[in-house]
This record gives sequence, structure tokens and C-alpha cells, in this order.
Amino acid sequence: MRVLFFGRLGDYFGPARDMEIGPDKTVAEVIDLIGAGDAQAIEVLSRNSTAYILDNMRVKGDARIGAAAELAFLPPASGG
Amino acid sequence: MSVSVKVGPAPFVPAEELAAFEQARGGETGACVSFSGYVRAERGGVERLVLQHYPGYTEQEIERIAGDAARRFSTDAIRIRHRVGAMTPGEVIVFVAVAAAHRRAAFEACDMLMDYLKSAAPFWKKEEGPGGARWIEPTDEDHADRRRWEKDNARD
Repeated sequence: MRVLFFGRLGDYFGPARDMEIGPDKTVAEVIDLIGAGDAQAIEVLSRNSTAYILDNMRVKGDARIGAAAELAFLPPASGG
Repeated sequence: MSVSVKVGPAPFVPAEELAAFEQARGGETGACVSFSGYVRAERGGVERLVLQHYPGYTEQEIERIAGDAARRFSTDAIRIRHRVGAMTPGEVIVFVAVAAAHRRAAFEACDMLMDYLKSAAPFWKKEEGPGGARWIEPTDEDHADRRRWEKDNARD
């Protein structure tokens, strides 16, 4: 699965990474995998202000990955 | 009713966008309103602006809100152009044009779309200047401007 990070999250995690993630995993479980024990990383991605976009649909942390090909983490938008 | 949204790095000329938009207007259009936004120098504080978007999703979200504006104000046509990538002060960053039967609908739809684009559209903006680089978030005023269009606060 392609995992994308935008804005200041891209500075922290890098803009994109490819991860092997089973369809039964939830977004919250993916955050744990990305954080890999780094409490600050997990906190940043778990904030209410971070939006989760699964194949162009906004979802909550308990959403299952299923057959999705792309998961994006969006910090608060700056606007244009 | 037509909605046209394009987001990309290529510069554009607002006058050319407006001319093409007005030329395509239908016989029932009585008013065209447009807005052009430019990168501000902030008195030397900004040397470069870098705007990031999420290709596909950003366009989808802008089209959704443009559709809302089109239905709410019964517009005839909406055109939105938005730059992304690196820009310097003085460069155009956004263009919005609205055609409607009457002027107030055109003004208000354009106003609503700009409030949305400035505060909630999926863009991430980094300003670079003599003091370094920093990510920008919408101001309280930007959020207040957008709330004017929420149903509970609507004037219509």
C-alpha cells in the first residue's frame, strides 16, 4: 500500500512510503506500525486535526484498510 | 450549470481565463464576477511560497464545494484555477469566476468559494523568507469567513 504524508507531516515522515499492510488492519493499527514505538510520531498521526484519506474517501481511525491502495495523512489544510 | 476546476503548477493569465469564461457564457447569464489572488511579498518577509496539494483528492474536494455553491446560488458556470508548486511574490495563485443570472448570486458564490479555498481546501502552504521556512495555517479570520456560509449562519 502507498502511504502519503502532506504538509508538515511530510517533513516528519517523508512524503511517501510503500508498506505491506493486511486488509484486516485498521488505520489506527497502521499508525502504530508507522510509529514503531515512537510515541511522538503516533501522537502526531492520532491527533483529531489529522485527516485520514483512504482511496480518496475520508475515514476514521477504526476504518479497515480492506482493498484500498492508498492511505494519506493530512494535517490541517493551509488553504490556497 | 458547469463547473471547471484545474489545479497545477503552470502559470496562467487571469485576463485570458476571464475572457474565455465570459465568451462561453449562455444567454441566461446576466452577471459574471471574478477574483484573482496573488502571492504577497509581506514587506520582504516572503521570498518564495510553496504550495502542496493532494492530486486527485484536492480537485475532488474543490469540485464538491463548487457543486454546493452552484446549487445554492443557481449559478450558470463556475471556473476555478489554482496554482501549486513554487511561486514568488507578484505571481498569480488563484482565479475564480462565476456566472449567474443576477449579480448578487454571482458575487456571493465567488465570495463563498474564496472563503472555502482560503481556509479548508486541501492545500498546504509553506512560506520561505529571510527568517527561514514555515508552514502556514488559516487564521481565525479565515475560519470566521468560512463559517459565514454554514447553513446556521447563512443570510439566505
